[in-house]
Amino acid sequence: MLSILPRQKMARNEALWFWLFISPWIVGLILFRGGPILASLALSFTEYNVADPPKLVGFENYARLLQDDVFYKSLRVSGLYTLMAVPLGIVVSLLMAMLLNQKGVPFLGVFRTLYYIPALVAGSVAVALLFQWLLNPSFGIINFLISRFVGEEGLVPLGLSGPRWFFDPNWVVPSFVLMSLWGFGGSMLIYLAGLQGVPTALYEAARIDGAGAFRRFRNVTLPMISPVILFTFITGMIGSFQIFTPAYIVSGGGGGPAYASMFYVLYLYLNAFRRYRFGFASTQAWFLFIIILVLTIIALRASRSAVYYESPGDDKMI
Amino acid sequence: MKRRLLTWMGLLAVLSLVLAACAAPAGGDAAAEESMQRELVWMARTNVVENPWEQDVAIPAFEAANPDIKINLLIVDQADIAVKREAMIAAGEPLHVWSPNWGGNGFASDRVRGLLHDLSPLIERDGLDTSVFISEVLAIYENEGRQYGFPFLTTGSYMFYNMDLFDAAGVEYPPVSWDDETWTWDRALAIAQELTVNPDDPMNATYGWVEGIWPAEAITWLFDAFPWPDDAFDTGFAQSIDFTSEGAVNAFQSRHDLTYKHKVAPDAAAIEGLSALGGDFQSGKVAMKTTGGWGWWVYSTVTPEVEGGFCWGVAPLPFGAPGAPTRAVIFTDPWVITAGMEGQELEDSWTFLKYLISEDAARAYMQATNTPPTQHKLLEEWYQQFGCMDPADVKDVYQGAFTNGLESSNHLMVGFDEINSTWDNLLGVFWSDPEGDAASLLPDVEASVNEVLLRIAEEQDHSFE
Repeated sequence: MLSILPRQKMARNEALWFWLFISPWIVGLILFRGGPILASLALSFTEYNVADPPKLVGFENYARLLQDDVFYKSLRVSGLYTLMAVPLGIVVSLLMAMLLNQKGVPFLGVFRTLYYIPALVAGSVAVALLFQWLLNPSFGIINFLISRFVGEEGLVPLGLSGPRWFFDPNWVVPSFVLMSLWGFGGSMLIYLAGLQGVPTALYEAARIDGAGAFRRFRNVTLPMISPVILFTFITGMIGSFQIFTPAYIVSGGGGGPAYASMFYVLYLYLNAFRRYRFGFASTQAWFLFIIILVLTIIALRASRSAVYYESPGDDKMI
Repeated sequence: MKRRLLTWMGLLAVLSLVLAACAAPAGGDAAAEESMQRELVWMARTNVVENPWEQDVAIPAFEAANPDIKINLLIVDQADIAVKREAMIAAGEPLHVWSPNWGGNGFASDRVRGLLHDLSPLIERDGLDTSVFISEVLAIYENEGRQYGFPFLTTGSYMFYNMDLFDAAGVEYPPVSWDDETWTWDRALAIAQELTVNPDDPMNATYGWVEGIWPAEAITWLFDAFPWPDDAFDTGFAQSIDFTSEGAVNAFQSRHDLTYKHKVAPDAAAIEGLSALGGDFQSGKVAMKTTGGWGWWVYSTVTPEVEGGFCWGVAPLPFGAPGAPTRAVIFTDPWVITAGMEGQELEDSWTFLKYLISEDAARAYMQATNTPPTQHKLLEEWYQQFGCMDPADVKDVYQGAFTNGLESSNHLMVGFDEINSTWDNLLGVFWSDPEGDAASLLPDVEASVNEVLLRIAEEQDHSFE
């Protein structure tokens, strides 16, 4: 026989079950994340090379970081990459999501799957090697196609030749941005879900009011999926500042040429594991945390007037 | 009802745990014997020829002779081996025998950081005969009277050449003597020009010369412009490097000119492409390649008998400047023991290290890998391993590197990884720029490297006298 519990007791019971079910995650967070986070904060005030015990040096690492030329170069590379990759990623993902949101297209499910599959290996060693090969100036297929279409003896003989991609410091970051587009499938899926959540009644009303396709996109679609755009913007920005694998593989871990692929996290890694400056690298990690935190706060503040939440209070979700 | 079911399920779970705990270990005696063994962790690099030797030859032979010791072989990719080692040391995980020169900073840094066990007392206690080793090679891993490691392979840097391409063009092979002063950069360049075909079409090109001497600074050695201070390789520290001398500028510019002025060498992108196809020299599209002595074993699979194979020979590095006394970079890898061990753990590690450097184990390693050995006796056997070259010529060219060379800066300079990354970054643009001018670039490279050198010395509290 079911017993009827008073409302307060039921709420307490529910809370208990909540904590019980979430406890593995909390324990994991405290033990495997919380510990290292606090340890890295403590290490950032020390000189630590693994072989010897950490030596307290106060704010020396922070001061040294601010005088480090390569630190600024790495910040510039990651910043530039974020500036290019995040907006471009949003545009491409959104466009693809809109294409795959059409009704009446045969095999739509197949297309959605096909376009999503590359995202499964995005950011991996395999993709880095693939793009290194595709963008090789001498043997890569991209430059081959460029020369075939617009080269001196191409279909349209404009005398153009492909850039030197990863070998030219000016083209290194754009090459990585191009590589990042390989992973648009993840955001595309989120946009697809967002687009499908837009009430069709709004489109119908807009159509009755005489709005064309562009007006419907601008005045209905964009406002309705603006929380999704904000979400992908913030997560994309965080991810872009943390890029490591492609930079490590393509540059062979050196960050060249001319520090053009010295992404922030690659430089952090080199300091920690190649140069045994674990204290200094921890300082870099905390700097990165502060940078991302500040940028996220700015993005959230700036988005207040641009992002539309259907019901009041939804903004608390982000 | 529900409560009873839960109780029964709980009891069953406890019972199964108790039974599992009481059960005899699988395998009975064998497993029990295994549990009595003491374990040693041996760290090695990923390598298609070395790993089978380690797994199928070295470990079984050692464990058969020492049944109470079990070797746990840890194979790590060379580029990541230092990272793994640091993580293990940081985590307090056991690591007994390893080599310091793979990945990261190399011997000098590990010595300065106190990671290496001083083997001298053990050598003296056991009366180990060290005279079987080439003394100059053994001395590389000795510092202030302490022996920190035993070399297991050593090689200079050389010019490897494709005999088939030379024969087809009717060009005479380079000499084998390091003292032959007619073997100059210009003569090598003239040969390269003769052997280069279609240099502007990477898909159909045959290149005369790939210049791949490493580390990058070592190109200056050929031009009598050794850039390090005299005591740098002894102390592991330097206040400055000299990249702006006439010889150094000439050296870097000459290498650059091979690609863009003389068009006998592929550019960096073409080299990357050829490497991805199995190796530039191995592709058969390169007539000569100057590089480290790893060519001896990396190219050992390239023989006329295999498809796409060819005969290759080895020559000295050419003189960039007349009489340059030091031309070859020598690479010697040692086995070391982690510092801080004592008692049985140290004894076991020492036993294993002694086994690895024993004549039998060293011979098996040499035969399995084609790497040059570090013991006099074995060298004579090693010279016989190259079918396309006369053993007497192999001996001349191989040994000449040692009288005309010095151990590599990546083994002897503290903080090499950062030094290397600094010059590589700045030179990377130069190597890819057809208009690159060494004279205008090198002052910046020198200044940046000097800044790094001072920082490394400061971090290690090293003072220059």
